Amino acid sequence: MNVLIVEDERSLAKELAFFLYQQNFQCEVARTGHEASELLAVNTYDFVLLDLGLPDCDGLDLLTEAKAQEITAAIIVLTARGEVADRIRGLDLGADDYLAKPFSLPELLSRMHAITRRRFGVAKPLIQFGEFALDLQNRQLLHQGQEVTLSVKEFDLLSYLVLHKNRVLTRLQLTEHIWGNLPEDGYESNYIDAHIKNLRKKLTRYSELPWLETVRGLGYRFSL
Amino acid sequence: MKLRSKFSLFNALSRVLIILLLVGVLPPVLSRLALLTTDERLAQKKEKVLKIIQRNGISAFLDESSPETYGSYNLLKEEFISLEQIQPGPRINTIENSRRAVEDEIVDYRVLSYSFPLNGKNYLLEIGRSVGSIGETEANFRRYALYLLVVVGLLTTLADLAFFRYLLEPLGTIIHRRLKNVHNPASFNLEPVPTSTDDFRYLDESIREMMVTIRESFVKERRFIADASHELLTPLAVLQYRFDNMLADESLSDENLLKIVESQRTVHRLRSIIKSLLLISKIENEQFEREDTVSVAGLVAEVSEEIQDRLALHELRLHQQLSGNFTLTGVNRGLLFTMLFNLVNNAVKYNRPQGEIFLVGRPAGGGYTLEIRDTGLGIVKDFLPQLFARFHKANSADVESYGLGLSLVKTIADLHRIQIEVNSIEGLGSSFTLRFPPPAAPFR
Repeated sequence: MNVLIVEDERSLAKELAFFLYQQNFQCEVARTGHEASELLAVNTYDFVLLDLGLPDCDGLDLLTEAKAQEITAAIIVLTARGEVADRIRGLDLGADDYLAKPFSLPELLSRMHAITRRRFGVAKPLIQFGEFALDLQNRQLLHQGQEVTLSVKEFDLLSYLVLHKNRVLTRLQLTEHIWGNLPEDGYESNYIDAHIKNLRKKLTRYSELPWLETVRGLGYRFSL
Repeated sequence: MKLRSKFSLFNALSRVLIILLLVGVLPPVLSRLALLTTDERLAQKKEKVLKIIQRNGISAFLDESSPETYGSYNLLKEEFISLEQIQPGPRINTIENSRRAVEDEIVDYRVLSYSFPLNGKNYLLEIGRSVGSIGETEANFRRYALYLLVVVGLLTTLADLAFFRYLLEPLGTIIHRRLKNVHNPASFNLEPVPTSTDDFRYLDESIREMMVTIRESFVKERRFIADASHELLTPLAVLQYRFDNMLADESLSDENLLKIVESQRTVHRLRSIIKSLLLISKIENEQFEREDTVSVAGLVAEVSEEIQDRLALHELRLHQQLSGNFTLTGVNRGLLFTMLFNLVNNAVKYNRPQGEIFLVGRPAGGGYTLEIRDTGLGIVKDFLPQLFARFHKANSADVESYGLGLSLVKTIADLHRIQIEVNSIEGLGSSFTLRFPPPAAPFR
């Protein structure tokens, strides 16, 4: 998943990016409101970590602008301001969560997981389909309690499809959300098919996989 | 050749020519001069002898023991004086060369002959100087003249060089100051060059006026691209998100979904083009910080990891042959990744199935070269000069390409002072060589 970190404090932004990268997120950093607004217009993100105290604008204005653009990313407001008024205003403007500095990085991660579950209507961290169970928190796929070895991208692909169950995901959407916003010339998505093929091959070794279907001309759908 | 060098060369050549000319002309002149000097000296001696005769009488030379002739010469027979009584006749007053027998040898002399009457008798006075000793005088003249010529030649050459240097210094400053960073109008140095030479002042002012005009249009163009890109992107982003949300609508028929997906692809294409233009414009505007330290090996590893699934899809093999490690300082890691990723991705896209890609790195002249070579389609020769131009596609069959990838690569390379060399043989493959500058070279 793609994360935009909007934070003017360079060392904090770097730490956040490093931590999230370790957790298999693709990260980009904006140090000003202007830069953030530009990146939001250019790229597609799953999460925006928004610091309210930006050098060139109020973070809450950026939040308003982003929501007006109907962005699909979840927004977590990060700020040193612990005041209730700010917190309420942020949440009212459409932020998905609020973290007061200083916060611990594992706490941020578990909030992000919680938001993901909430957004996709997943009650438990373990999502069951047939004899398989997908553990989002620990990044594991289990078959009858035994771990199935998947590559990082295969796991990301499967979990993204599972989370967006019953809806068609285009190759473009999958590329953007899983491979991040690579600035490349042209649109190449055939390699997604190769990953899906590998995923199918690995999973059908254990049991049939009726949930993952190819929607001709569109993309893929995980029906659950 | 530099102007100053041309001046110096001309100066030196003209001096040599003058010296050669003088060396050719001097011998007859000096020879004549030596002869005149000798004649002058002989005449002076004649006057002296006549004065002695006037003062002491002829008996100072002709006495009773030798009443008719007197002769004297010095030890080396270089000079002689003779006085003899002669029969009356026409007056003699000549200077000419003649041979005389002295003791047991014949010697060539320059002889002054002068006859005069005294006490009713006629006398002939002869004073001679050997031609050999005149030649020595002439040789001395020649030697000193040559020394003088060389010294004068050297002094005037050095003086001319110093003056040329002083005179041309403003021109050098104009060239250095005006032409430095000529590819980056935003950092033109417009400070006037001090000079007392009107021509240089006029030249400098004219160049500065042109540079101001160039800078203004350059800045306007950049601002236009940045503004237009940003203003276009916002509505496009709204469309993109709206399509995303529509795709989530489970009630839509597959036919309608297909239309949305097609529209989404069009929007994505537009966004990507504007995104690349915006990126190029931002790089050109120097809006990217260059504070990272990156090793070439690390960069190659990062890109090859990112590209693995594409390699697998096309069954391509990637060979890495990096000798030595090279660390780049004061760079932007993200941009360098984008540059290398685009080049390697092209090597993937335009390769043949089961082809190969080579990443070959080696130290070179204090810097480092990294070659990205593929076994693909190659680039048509006519396309090579325009390869890095915006919206220029090397492979017209590639409908997905926007023709901005290599333009972006070149912009990033220019920012980091990395040179790119392209070699391609149609049907055999292409090779892009990145030449990283030595670490000591300061970045712009």
